Amino acid sequence: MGNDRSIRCFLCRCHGEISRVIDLDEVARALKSHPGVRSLDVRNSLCLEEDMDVLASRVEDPDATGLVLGACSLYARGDRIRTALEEKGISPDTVEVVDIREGCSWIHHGQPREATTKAIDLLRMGVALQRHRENPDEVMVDPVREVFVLGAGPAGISAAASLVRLGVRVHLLDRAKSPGGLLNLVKRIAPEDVTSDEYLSQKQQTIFASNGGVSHYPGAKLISAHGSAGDFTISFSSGKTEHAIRVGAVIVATGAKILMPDGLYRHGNLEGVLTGIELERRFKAGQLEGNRVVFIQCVGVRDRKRPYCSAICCIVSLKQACQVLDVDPQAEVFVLHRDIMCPGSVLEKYYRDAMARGVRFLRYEQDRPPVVLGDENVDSVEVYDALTSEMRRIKADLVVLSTPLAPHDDAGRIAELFGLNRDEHGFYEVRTLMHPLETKREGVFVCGSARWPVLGRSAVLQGEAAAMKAYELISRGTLAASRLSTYRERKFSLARVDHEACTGCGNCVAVCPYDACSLEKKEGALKSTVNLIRCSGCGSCVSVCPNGSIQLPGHSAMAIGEMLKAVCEQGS
Amino acid sequence: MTKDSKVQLPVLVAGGGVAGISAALDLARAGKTVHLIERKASLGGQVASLDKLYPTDHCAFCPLWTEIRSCVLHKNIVLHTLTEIRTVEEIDGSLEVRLAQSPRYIDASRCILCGRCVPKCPVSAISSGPEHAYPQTYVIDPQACTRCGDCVDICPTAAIDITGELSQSTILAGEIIWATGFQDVDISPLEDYGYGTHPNILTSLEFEELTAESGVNKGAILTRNGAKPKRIAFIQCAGARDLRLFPYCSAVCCMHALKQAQWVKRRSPEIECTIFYTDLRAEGRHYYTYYLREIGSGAIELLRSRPGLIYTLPDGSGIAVTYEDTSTQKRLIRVYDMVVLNGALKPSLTSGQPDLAGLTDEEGLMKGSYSRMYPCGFCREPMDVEASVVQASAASLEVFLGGSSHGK
Repeated sequence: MGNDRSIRCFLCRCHGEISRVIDLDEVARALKSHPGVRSLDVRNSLCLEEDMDVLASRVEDPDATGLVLGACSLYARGDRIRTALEEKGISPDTVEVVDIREGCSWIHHGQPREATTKAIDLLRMGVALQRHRENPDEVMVDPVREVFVLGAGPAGISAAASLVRLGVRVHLLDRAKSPGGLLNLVKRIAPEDVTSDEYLSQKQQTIFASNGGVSHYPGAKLISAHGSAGDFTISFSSGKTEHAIRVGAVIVATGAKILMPDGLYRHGNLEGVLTGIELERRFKAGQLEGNRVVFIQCVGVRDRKRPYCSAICCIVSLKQACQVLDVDPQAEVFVLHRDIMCPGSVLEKYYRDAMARGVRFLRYEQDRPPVVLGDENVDSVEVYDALTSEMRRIKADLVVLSTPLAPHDDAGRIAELFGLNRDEHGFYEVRTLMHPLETKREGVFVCGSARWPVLGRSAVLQGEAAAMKAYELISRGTLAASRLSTYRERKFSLARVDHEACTGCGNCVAVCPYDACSLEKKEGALKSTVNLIRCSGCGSCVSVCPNGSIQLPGHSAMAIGEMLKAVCEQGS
Repeated sequence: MTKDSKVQLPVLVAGGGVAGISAALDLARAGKTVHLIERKASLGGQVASLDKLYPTDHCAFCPLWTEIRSCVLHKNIVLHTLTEIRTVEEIDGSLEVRLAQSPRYIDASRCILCGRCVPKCPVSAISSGPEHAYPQTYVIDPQACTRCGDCVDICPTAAIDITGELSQSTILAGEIIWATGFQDVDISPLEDYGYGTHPNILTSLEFEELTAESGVNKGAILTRNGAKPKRIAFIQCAGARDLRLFPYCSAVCCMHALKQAQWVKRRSPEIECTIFYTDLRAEGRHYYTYYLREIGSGAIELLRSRPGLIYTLPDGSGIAVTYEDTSTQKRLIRVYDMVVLNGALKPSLTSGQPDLAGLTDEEGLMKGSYSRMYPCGFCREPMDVEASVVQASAASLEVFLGGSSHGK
């Protein structure tokens, strides 16, 4: 095996940064005799234009020549040498940049002998790798210019409306009969203070008025999802008919469910103990009775069973507290909380306004929760005020339990269908920080409360952001799979199977974190097959393959063996 | 929605922090030409100056560096560092932006990072620049430089040119995404916090810099005088949620303090850490898990109180923090070696930003939307990295949609 490239070596003096520690003459002598090395030059600065031109000029045939450069770290300027050479038509696959500056001359500046030996070792390994590096596989993807949006709550509606305005065809599927998600359950939306109908009306008009831009399937059930970024096939049933559609990207906006208190604080057996949603129903019906209302925060959450903060409940209770005051300005409203979560400017102002309107706040401790008192009806709430260390008894007509959002019961099934992970609380796992809506599965994005509880405003924003990400994927025309995702701008090696050697044991299928490996029948026998769009080149499959029939062409077992040999056989 | 049938004008992204980088990449990947404007010498913004990020506890370097690199190498992105926006004028439905670029003096494409110029400079005007900048290069402080030319002579690759002057240019842009981020605020006017009266009363960003693994002490927790502190106090909402300075909650400081305190404990378990807080806002994705992990062990003390007065003890033995124990209504005093003030962050709006009065609201934050201009990230509302990135993508979308459909 190998690529029969003839190797041209270049060593960089780096204006003394390398050559004043490392004996480059000795390195040159050692390398010249190394098998496969056809020429060797020593230059002053390989990273600068003047030397770059010399470098490029020595490559008569880009396919038959491999370059091994003894220079600086890829993270210093080595990367730029490769990029510049690529611009001159020399593939990065034919260039090894071996770090003999940061990793040798700089770090071992007091030990020139050892640094020189190490440089020779590293360069020999570079030569071996370059001789045995195979060209990676590449597959082109022509993304389907349609997007599947799962869930018609604020996040899904916002994603769908944005995509329609971008001229992208959208398939919007929802389990509910009418769009709006959780917003349908509440009277007004915080902190914007508009009705739920007003909140989404513009976006809904965009979607449902557009001529054929959106196929909306209410009351639908997902059956299966196959494929990968750029080309997914989704089947689902809507009414009595089954549909199968092809899309380029998937936006999961399934939202979350409101947790029921399960008897906590005597909910269900004491008249006047309500959940937030039950209170919303009374608001909607205009039947609010009683003007002494106590809200209890963190019901069934931030505890052992659900150790997370659902983020939105404080604002929801603030909103409801103010609504009680709207009905009766004389009402006495308490919010018993553990921390009021109103980050930022808009929500903090919302909190200040509620305080100014007379909503009273009282902090309780997790291990001394409030106790709801009463025989048939609520009478009062007894609570230990954590700030003043006093027991307080608050007369109440209504106690409102602020329960969190929790993952839907079928979140596991949806995760399985799309190949998503879930976090310890059951929400869909996304990549962190710089890729907050992307999942481990290319082309599948998660937004809204399906990823983490959010208010309508954030759900809408995330829906728009997810639409943007989907648009980036499907609007670029034909793409190389290795450049498909936003995290891989550079080509890298994808797994390749030698079908003659593969025994179909399935180890690779079991271990692949991206579901890229599968067993398929080839000439009567099961063989491993790699989906190059899903593969991210991690190499997990290589490590479990019993006979080396699956390899990363850029770093095959053969190449790594040759690299080791190059070091071990040195002897001198 | 107006479709420009004539020429596709580029989009200008103001600010090269997490929001600006994300917006620039979103736009570029979807086919727009982007001019990314950064005031400093390298991309990354405030996050690049952080040691670690919550809730991952990873170095800020990794997640950011790959994005910065993608930005620098993307063929649709034109990068303007050391550049400020002077004026923006709307002319015939497009935006004429005048830029002023400070000279770089050191050509990043020629600097090989040998560092020979640094000891040669008689006024120490040359520094290595941010640790993880991409591309990495040495930086000359134009204010300190005396133009003596010693560095020019020693540079082996002729990368230095100190004759450069401020250069002005004009870009005609279709839209602007404002992503100018935030900055630390001098809170010495709030005298009760004692900022400026003692070297070890620090803002949290100063503390981050002092204790960073890539900083002067290589991650060791030491005071400004180089001594090992025994007790550190983190004061939350110092200048924020405070009608005297910033009424808003800066949104990032609770987790930031938790992160800093836990890294102090990790590196020097014997140092006592107290966080004085108002509400501990650990509401973001996985933040409460982080909070539980750090607080559950009991190693970090949480004290729900807002200190009244912070002052240096006359005998120099420490910094006194007075606060009320609300359960007894008694005023107490505790003595610390370092006090970290958390919270006073304000939107960073470049000096040349056009007509700020019209762009910002009463709290100094950028308003939701204007004609052809879309703000995102901290300059619009205090928010963490994930929220900034989401908002940047949403702002990029607005550029494609050609008009805002929702307000703030």
